[in-house]
Amino acid sequence: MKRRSFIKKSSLASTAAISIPFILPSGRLFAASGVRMADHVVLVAFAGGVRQQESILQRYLDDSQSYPSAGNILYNLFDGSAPTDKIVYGTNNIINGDTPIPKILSQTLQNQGTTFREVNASAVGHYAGVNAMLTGNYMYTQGLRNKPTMPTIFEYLRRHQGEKATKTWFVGNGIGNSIPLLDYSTHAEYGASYGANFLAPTITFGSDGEKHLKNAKVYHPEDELDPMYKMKYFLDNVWYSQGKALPNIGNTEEEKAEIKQFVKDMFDKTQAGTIAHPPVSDNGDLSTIGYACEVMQRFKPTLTVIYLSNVDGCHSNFTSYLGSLHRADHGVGHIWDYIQNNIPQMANNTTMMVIPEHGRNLVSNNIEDGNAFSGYDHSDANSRRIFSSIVGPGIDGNLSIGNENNQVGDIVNLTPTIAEILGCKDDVVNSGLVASSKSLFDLI
Amino acid sequence: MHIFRKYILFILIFSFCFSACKEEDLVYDINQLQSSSYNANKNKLKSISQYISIVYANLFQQALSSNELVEITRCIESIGDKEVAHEIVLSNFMNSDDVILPSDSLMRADLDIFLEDTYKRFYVRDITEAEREFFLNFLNSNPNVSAEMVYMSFALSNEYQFY
Repeated sequence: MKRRSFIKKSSLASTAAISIPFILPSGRLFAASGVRMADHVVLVAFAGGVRQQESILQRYLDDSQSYPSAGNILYNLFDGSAPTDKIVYGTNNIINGDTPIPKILSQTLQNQGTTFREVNASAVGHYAGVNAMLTGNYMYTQGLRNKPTMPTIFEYLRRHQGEKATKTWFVGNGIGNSIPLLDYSTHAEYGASYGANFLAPTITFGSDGEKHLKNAKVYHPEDELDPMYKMKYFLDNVWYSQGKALPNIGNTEEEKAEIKQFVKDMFDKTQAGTIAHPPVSDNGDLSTIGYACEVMQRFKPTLTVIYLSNVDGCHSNFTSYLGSLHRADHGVGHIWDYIQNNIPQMANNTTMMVIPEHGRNLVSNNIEDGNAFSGYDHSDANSRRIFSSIVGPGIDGNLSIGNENNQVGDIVNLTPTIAEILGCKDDVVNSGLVASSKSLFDLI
Repeated sequence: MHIFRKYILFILIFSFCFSACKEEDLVYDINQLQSSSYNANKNKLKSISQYISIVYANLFQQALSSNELVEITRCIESIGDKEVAHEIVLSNFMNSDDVILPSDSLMRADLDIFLEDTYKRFYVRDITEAEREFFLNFLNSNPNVSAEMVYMSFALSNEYQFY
């Protein structure tokens, strides 16, 4: 098994690395705690609630609408032939959705990597699900509109690996569902100063941003920004002597300048139509993916989390759910293809993980769409069933773990998995703040 | 008649007692100093929409429309680093023709008055002598610093985030 040989080889290297201490940007002296399997991780939260039946089980309408048409509509992710009857998920040609989007990847992610076919996700709300994904904890008592109470993987990474703020990004499709709150936790030992940079590009570069951000002045760094910051820092110092501190994720002045320049450049690229969008980019998820690719191209983050959510239309429109699923697969194919072919620093040095935050119900609700397809909510036991795909250096190819009758893995294993890939699993597990000490690799 | 006299006597004694308790306020011939912290009452963080409404009214001397307030709030929520987000939004304001700022020549004509006005305008308090000294030194040694830059630094400062 590739991973075992990787671990054997790396154990020698890690022994040497442990003896070579290094100084983190915080000034603290640390010993390297582990060897990385890859220098970059991209986590695609294939979120919004995805039923196993239409995704990895490839049953299309057969298992949802009692219509005998089965097949695979996620053909960048999984092997399997597409449905041939009643095609509603593609782009519009003669009738709505009748033209499937062409496949991007020559080899599916299933073929290139490891697939956990049946994983448990006990939190069946969107925010709670992504929260569990990023913190490695089920926080059953935590409501919406509150930041996570346990540290996120961004914070572990920044605190224990000394990553800069611009090396951790959380790119979200919108600002609903409390998603912007997931950039850092309120945990006393971690918190804002170890947070990630959050961006919701469909807002920032959408109509609101066009109106209120695009025309921003770019101040001269030495002549204007420098004195401006000197005055601000004086005012802040006076305030700190008597007032409260503000949460700050700790971008340096250089990083802030880089982000502002990135925002300006993205407006120019948006206007010129040169954003790295997928070939088809007709919904919010695909638009978000285009800007996420730009973030990766510019900042080469160590950890990028991309949150998709369009499939949540399934509550009331099953047809749009199928279309969004198909597009999310198209987007994932584009991300992997873009990294390998357009970002040389990340090519062959990136692990990508794709995982929904929860599933959807077994039984439909009473809402029918224009095709008389019934919608599905997320509250029953079927909603706790998800899959996970992992691809990248050191990950076994064409390996399938678990099946419908044999659940292997849990969404809380994801945080230790990312930590293991990035060489800080011991730090994360030893913090005592994650529900499981096992990564998905430990379950193979 | 006897009872009436008793009442008069009682009223006289009562008014005498209370007038005797009244003490004159002492006025010393020195400037009054505030012994408590000058910003101690600012302990609540402004919400994004409060911050934007207030800074807009401050810079444009008019209220922000509710539609624009929602749009700008969404823009700020879409960027994680709020310092960066505020800076972009404010510099966008500064690019508007309608923003009302004192001219640089007016600022330089009397720095003392400009600073006092700026502290009142943004912080709703008086400038301290230490702050005055810093700003006078800074502005005198940096002649290219404009009123816009001073306003930006106040609008972006942490004290301005609290009320």
